Amino acid sequence: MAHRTSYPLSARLWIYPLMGVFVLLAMLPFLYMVSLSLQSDAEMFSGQVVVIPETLQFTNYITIWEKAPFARFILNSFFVAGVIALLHVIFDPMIGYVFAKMEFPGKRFMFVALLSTLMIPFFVRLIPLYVMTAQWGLLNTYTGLILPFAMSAFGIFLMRQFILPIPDDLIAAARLDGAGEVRIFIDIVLPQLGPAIATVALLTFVFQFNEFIWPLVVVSSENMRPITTGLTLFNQEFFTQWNLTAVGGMLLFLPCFLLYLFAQRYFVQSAMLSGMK
Amino acid sequence: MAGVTLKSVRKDYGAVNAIPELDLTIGDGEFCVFVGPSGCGKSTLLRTIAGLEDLSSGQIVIGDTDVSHRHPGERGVAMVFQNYALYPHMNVRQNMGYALKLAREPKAMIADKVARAAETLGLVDYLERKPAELSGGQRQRVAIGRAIVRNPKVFLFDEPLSNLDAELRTRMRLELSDLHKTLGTTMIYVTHDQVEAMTLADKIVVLRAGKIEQVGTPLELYDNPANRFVAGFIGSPAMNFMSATQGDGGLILDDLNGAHLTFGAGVAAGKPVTVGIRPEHLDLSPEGAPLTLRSVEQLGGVTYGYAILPSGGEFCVDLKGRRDVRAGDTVHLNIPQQRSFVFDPETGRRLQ
Repeated sequence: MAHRTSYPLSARLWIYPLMGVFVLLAMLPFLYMVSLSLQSDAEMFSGQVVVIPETLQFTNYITIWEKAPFARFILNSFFVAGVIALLHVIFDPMIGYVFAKMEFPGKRFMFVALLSTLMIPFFVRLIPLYVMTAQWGLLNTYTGLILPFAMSAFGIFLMRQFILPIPDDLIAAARLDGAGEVRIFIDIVLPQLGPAIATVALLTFVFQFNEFIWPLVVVSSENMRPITTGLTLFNQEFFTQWNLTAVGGMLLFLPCFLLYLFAQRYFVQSAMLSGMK
Repeated sequence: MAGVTLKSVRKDYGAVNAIPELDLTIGDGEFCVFVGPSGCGKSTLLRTIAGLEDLSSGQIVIGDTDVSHRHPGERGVAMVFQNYALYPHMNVRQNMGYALKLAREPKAMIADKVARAAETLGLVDYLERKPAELSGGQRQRVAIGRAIVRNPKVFLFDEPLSNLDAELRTRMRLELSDLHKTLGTTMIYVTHDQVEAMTLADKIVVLRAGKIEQVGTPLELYDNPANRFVAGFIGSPAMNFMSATQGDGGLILDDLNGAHLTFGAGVAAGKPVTVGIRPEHLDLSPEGAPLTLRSVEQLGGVTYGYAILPSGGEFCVDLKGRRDVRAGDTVHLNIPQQRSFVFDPETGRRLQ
């Protein structure tokens, strides 16, 4: 059970203002983005920092759809991030199960090799990955956007950690009940991974929804862009329409925020169960 | 229903030999208990019969069928585990019916079999509950129910009562015994608790380091142990062992102030031997050998006195319900010949 401490008034007098300052500092860029998204072009280019716009330009939220194929960008983002999250939900538990519960030669080496990929920054892999994608003729395709992220060491590791504590006797009992390996995985192991699957799906989706570098490198045509690189359309040679970019930022933020609100319960549960809090 | 025959069964883990070649026949409908200390290979042997461990060599025959290389689900065995191994996301009904569902039995038949097993085990009111909502005893009943519905040829129990408290363990032990009488199915039961072994078994198999030390009915093992290991393992409290030497046409107990026993004439003169006597078979008599007790346990109906022998061994004596004896008192013991055993101290083999 969570232990709640009630602080005396004297402590609360400084704890709350201090916490308020930190929260404000953390939220400042976001709040400024909200403000920017509601500013007129004149306010944006006035050379002064406008905190609260004189008139709230909600029209920016309409203009953006006219100036760029944003519906297409959003669709691309949802499709790519959604398919990648789905692939993770399918493959990560399977591979995690094999690493957690099966014995085979080279298992330890393979697991360490897998984990070591977590230590390599993505930028180091970027060029070889680009060359491979180009050679396979996957540049400017959905497959090219999705394939490099179809599995992740993190997701597999999280699943393995979740599957390890499942008693071996439970699997043995299913085997004695006449279940084959696939049945055991689907009927016995998978139903116990709900929180872990929700976490992997959420983290993967949010991460891929915000992915910028890979689409920037792989995608060349406008209609293949996700929102992240689509926003660069407002980055022109002599000026940047920051208010419209901020609107795009809001569009990028909202789905992830809503998804997190929805899945938060599982997410916290999963972090607690896996001992990763 | 069917018996189980193990022919030259051997189990290795890499270079480690867990079970050397072993032969055993368990009769149809017999309640056979594998007993032995931790790590003696009894659970490994059971899991090998179940098919959860691969055989290194040998043959396992259930009924008339060689099942050595069959999938665990196709051997006609059902197993009850120490930690119950109930599927946590399924309710009692689903847990019990899972094997039948996999076997594609009609839904009505599954419902009928589950209902009958639930009735036998007193689980009717709990069918919709998840395992987490049940007590330890109820969970173990569900595990047994899951085994029953499959109507197996052989039941396998892997220390099924170890996780229960003492009172519940006794009750479940009686229920298991009744179940065996009702079903008449062959049961193989693994335990390290020799009281369970004595009370449940038709046949006990005593194992040590993967080898069978002795096979017999509980009373055969109690009355006629083949060696010191079996003698010490069967019976509670355990048998007392004292070092002795042959002399004056009998045995001289070095551990009991040189007390002279009139038996053991067949032992070579001067040869050291070990004499074994159960605590309940010692007689209290004023002419007997003196022994000073270091502690006394009053259990109400029974009283046990404990002492440390000069050789360092522990000694226990049943004081026949006497309540006047205290720690530090000296009692005089008479060792009846017909109840004593003589063992070779090197090999542990029984000499007399």
